[in-house]
Amino acid sequence: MQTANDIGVYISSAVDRYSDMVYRAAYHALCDRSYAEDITQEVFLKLMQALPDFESDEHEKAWLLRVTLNMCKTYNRKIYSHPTEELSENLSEEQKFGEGPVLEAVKELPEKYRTVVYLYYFEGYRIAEICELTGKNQNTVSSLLMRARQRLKILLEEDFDDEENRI
Amino acid sequence: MKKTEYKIEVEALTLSEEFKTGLKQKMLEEYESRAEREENIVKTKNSNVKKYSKYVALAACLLLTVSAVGGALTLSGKIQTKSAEVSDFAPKPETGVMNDTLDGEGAAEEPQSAPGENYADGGAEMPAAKEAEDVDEAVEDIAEDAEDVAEDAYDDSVEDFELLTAPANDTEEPENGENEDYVESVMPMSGNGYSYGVSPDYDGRYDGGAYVFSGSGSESNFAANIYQTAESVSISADTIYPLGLAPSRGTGGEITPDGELDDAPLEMPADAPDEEVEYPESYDVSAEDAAAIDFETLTSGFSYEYYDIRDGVIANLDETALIRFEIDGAYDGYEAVAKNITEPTYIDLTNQTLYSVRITYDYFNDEEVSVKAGFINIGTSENQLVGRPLMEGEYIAVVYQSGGVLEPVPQLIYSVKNVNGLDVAYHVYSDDGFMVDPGDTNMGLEPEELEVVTSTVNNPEIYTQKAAVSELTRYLKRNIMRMEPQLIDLGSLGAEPEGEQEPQPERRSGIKANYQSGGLRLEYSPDEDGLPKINGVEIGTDMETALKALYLTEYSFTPDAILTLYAAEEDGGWEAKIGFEDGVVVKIEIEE
Repeated sequence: MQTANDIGVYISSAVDRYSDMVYRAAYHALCDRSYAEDITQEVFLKLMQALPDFESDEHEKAWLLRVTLNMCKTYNRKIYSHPTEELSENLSEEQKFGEGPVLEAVKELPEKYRTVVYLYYFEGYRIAEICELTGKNQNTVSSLLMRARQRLKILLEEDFDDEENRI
Repeated sequence: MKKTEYKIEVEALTLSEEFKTGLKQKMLEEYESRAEREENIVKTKNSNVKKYSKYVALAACLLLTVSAVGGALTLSGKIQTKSAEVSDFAPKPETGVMNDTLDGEGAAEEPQSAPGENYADGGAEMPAAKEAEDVDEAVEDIAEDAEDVAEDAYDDSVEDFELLTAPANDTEEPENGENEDYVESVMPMSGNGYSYGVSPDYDGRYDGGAYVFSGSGSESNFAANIYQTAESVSISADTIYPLGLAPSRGTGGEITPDGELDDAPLEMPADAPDEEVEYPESYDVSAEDAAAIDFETLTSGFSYEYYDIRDGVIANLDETALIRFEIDGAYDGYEAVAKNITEPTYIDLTNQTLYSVRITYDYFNDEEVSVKAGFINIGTSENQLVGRPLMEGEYIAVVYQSGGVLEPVPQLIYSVKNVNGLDVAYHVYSDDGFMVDPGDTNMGLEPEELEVVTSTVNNPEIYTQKAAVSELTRYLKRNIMRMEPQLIDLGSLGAEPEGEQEPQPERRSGIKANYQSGGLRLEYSPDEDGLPKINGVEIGTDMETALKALYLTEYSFTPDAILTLYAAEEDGGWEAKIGFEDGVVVKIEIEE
């Protein structure tokens, strides 16, 4: 990334490959598209500030996800510290009703469930990897996934994941 | 299958192309801005190095000047002394005198000798008449030379000073390339360019690493947060478990995040018991912040996420409250019944303590209250656990009601202390499990804050987190009230209203129970109703083993009543029926 051209290529590539992922992770954590976009922008600006030496694409992806999740956590804390800023207030009607029933059900779950569900079922991370990303221990992540499935089963009136021994 | 649908729905969550294009542009601008900052820093550093090098040159010149002048004066004095004495010596050769003196070789070869000694000791012959004149000339030459050196040094200094005071945008290159090398070797730029507040290990936490403060930012709040650096937090599990309750070291690799053991010496708590506690081999746990402490790997206990507690425990409570209270003392069960602190139902006090507490604040209703109530929690003076029984003092807890007494959600008990004018809630660790920081309100603990109360050896009160009371209670209130729980009517608990004399229900029932030295003594006192007087009744020794669980199940008393007591152990219990006829005990039945 020495020349302006190189950095331009890198930026373009990074945004094309990971911006949707970051956005989705942020959206799962915050349930708000505007905030998720803000977080996405912040994450990529942090990427520009740090320009870490990634060992691999997986490393880069994990870095982005970790930064995203922690920023969301910080963002949530900020919201809790300022009770007048309710996330739900920013939900437009379109945002509320423009999603499928399963995602809607997932959004009914508490934040920590949503995040592990996203990482596990959408990104395909294994539990051990989710532990590293979220800083939680293995039992906690397993437990979160199990409870998330139980809740989703109630919400959806159908098994969310019927694969045996998935976890 | 819902999972597949979920993937399809999530895939539809994408950013618009417009957003992505804008993002790329912003990233490019950020990169350019970063490059510009880097360039400025390099310039600043170069400039600084130039300044430093000038300072060094100036200092060297001044040193040289002082040395030269001092040397010249010393030499001058020596030579003058020698010249005065030279007539006493035999004639010396004319040549070589000044060479030895001026070039200093003699001094170099014979460092112990003073300049000019070679001449004196030379043994060469020299006409006495010419000797003094020659030496005087030599002295003048030396003085002139020294003066020249001093002037040169001064000139250099002035020149350097002028350079130093040149405008800041002076971009004059160094005269040689050494300064550039110096910049790189002494103040190398970060190889990865992480020089703008984002470390290579940055993980998105604003409060991770450099500082952990996450309070409201008020002055007093800040003052209370004396924990400034994550590195300064070093928790000794042996301080937490001074009696060796820490887990086996066999799995030591799991003990610390990096698997390292540390033999750093432990400090005894300031308020430790008199007897020396033998601490096992210590290890420290470096934590990124207090919330990162993994007590599950440190202990045999459990760790919980706050939401596990909320959704798994609090959500299932019939009634709940978030209260601030003071512990006044402890009751035995019998006393509590007698004082109407509890309902006359069975409560096992074998491993629990029933406290007399005064509730001072109801956070869910946001109001000050003054209610005296019973509060039960694990741990007794005989069966001490880590952090239990609780100490006298002020606490905050999420509680529920059980048998007329309040019982805390064990992971949500906080000890309240005033730190620099701020009410701070310290999470009290117990074997019920460690709970991860609710709402990220944790401000972080100094090592010396980890164990504050140690009234006895076995139950030091261990703190795992601290938070401003205002922030913690606000978070808990908001978070729990969202579930719309049934709230405890704290007013109904008041057995001993503030300001009123304690009622004495035992006189109403005509019976008084005293727990004395291993036996339960029932004393009957006739009241105004004219109940007949009976002698005291002592429960037999069979009951003693279960006295802590002995409880009245009926306490309305008439002269012909059968007073039923119930005692319990782990494996079962006894029921004791004490029959009275005309106020006289006629039978005591104890059934297993």
